[in-house]
Amino acid sequence: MSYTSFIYLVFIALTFCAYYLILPRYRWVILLAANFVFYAVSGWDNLLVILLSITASYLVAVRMGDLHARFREVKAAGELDKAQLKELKEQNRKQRQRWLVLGLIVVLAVLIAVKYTNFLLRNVYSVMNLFGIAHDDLFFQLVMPLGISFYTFQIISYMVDVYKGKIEPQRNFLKYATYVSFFPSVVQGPIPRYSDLGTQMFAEHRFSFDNLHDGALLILWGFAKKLILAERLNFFVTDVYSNYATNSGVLLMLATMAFSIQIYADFSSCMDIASGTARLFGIRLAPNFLRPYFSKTMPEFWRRWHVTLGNWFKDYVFYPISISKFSLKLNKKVRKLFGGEVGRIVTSCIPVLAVWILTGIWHGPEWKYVIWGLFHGMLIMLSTIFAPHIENMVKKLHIRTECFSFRLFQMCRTFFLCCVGRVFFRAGSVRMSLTILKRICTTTGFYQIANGKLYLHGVNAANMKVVFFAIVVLFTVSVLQEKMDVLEAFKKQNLIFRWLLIYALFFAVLIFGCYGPGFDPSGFIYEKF
Amino acid sequence: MEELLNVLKRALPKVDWETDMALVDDGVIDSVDVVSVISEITDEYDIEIPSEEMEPENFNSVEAIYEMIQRLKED
Repeated sequence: MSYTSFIYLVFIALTFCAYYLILPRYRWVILLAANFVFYAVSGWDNLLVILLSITASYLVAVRMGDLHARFREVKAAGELDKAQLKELKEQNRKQRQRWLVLGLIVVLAVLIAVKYTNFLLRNVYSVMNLFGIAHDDLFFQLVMPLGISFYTFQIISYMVDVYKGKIEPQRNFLKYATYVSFFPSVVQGPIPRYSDLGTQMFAEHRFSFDNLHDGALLILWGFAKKLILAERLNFFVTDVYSNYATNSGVLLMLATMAFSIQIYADFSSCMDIASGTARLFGIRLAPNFLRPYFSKTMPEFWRRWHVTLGNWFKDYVFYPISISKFSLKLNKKVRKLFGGEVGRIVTSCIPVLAVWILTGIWHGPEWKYVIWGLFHGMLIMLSTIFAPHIENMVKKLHIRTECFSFRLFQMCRTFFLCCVGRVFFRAGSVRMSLTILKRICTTTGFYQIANGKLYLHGVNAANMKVVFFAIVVLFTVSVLQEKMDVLEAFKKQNLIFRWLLIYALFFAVLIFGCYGPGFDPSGFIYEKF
Repeated sequence: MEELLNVLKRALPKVDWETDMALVDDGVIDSVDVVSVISEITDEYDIEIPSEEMEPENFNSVEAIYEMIQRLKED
């Protein structure tokens, strides 16, 4: 069930009515039923896969919760001295760790099995070909459960947080299942934390007109971004990238920039629809986009793009590696030998690279994503290494940094670097990406965009005007969002003005949106992950 | 506290440790900087920082770091 389909709107309308018709304390049951229907529509086999991960993680978390409780009881009894308590704490930690490892193995094995088996086989066959070993090209027809990459990470964060004692496990299996399979966020995130979503989900929500207004407006805004802008840009990008071998560098560059805008409009629109839907039920999802294209550096970009995934990697991969005994020992040695700055760089390189390789693989079982991840990992590392040197250079050259022109230069630079990475993300393979980059660098071919030829690539002149206008609107709203809470500011405006804008947006979606019979929507880019 | 301040200044000399009270929340120091801080304080105070202590509020200011160190020493 696509988030931008009519049936989805009917589905959330029915869920909304049912949700507020029953007693507040049982409202989560409606969400569970809705999650079940939403997920079952995508296929019964998908439902079995998610149930397996839910059941395994539920049992593991409850067991770890029991172990925590047992330790607390012993500690509260006050019968053990400090040394005995320390020993017991360590034993308890080791027991929890065994359960955690078991849980991680199960949920990651499910993810790897359904998402990466064929990728692994393909690479094994390539190696066998290299050594001339005969083999059958055996591949599996595997189901790819909806949002498996997202809910697996959600489950991992839940188990790790229970292991650490940061949260208490949810002992009601059905409530836990409601949390994991929450339909607005299960497909593409945001990747929630139990301490946030779990707390909100089971609170008793009363009907609020504000929530209805804000939720509906967010959904409408999401529809506009997806159907008016992202879908149109998709026509252009697909057309240009399909003929990459003959298209000129300028055209390919334009398509890559268009793709950067498309993927933002696409993914952030889904987040708006997800957040809007959750808001209808009185739940606020964590923000996933903070106007990333206004970032001045790549590290900043990644703090503002897909925020919940970045935070997930920071908390569950970067920090555990960074503060491991090995890393800290290495840091100590390098600092002794080469000084603090080198030590800082060396120790940050290992976790940064690990995070980015994993981020790449997380996006999909293809080498192009690994290269894309490595590219961004390298950029982050270079940014860390050269930041002080660039700062010194800027000072020596007396370049003004506290002015708009410098910030604009930084934003353009970040956008450009981002576009280079996007080539790998959008192209069909690494080879194709390299060919496109080569053509961008070595061919110009302005004739391919001059004299109206730009309009021959999937989007005609009239539609290109719509794209241009939509980008201006998106940009204006983003600039305003940098300065204020646009939704709150909107609510303070006069009633007539507000309804005029709502109607304008509604009719813009109706008139300029790409939908309806004969139109095959491209789906959301991130739902494939 | 004074001793800790010197350790932190050694780790990240450009940070205004005396006045800033929301270093992580305000983005003054990032995750790489946090690791540099951990590296210095684990060395200096011979403690281990478990992953559950990796919370922004524990690194937002000198006071927060000091409290975390005291807590870990007691454990």
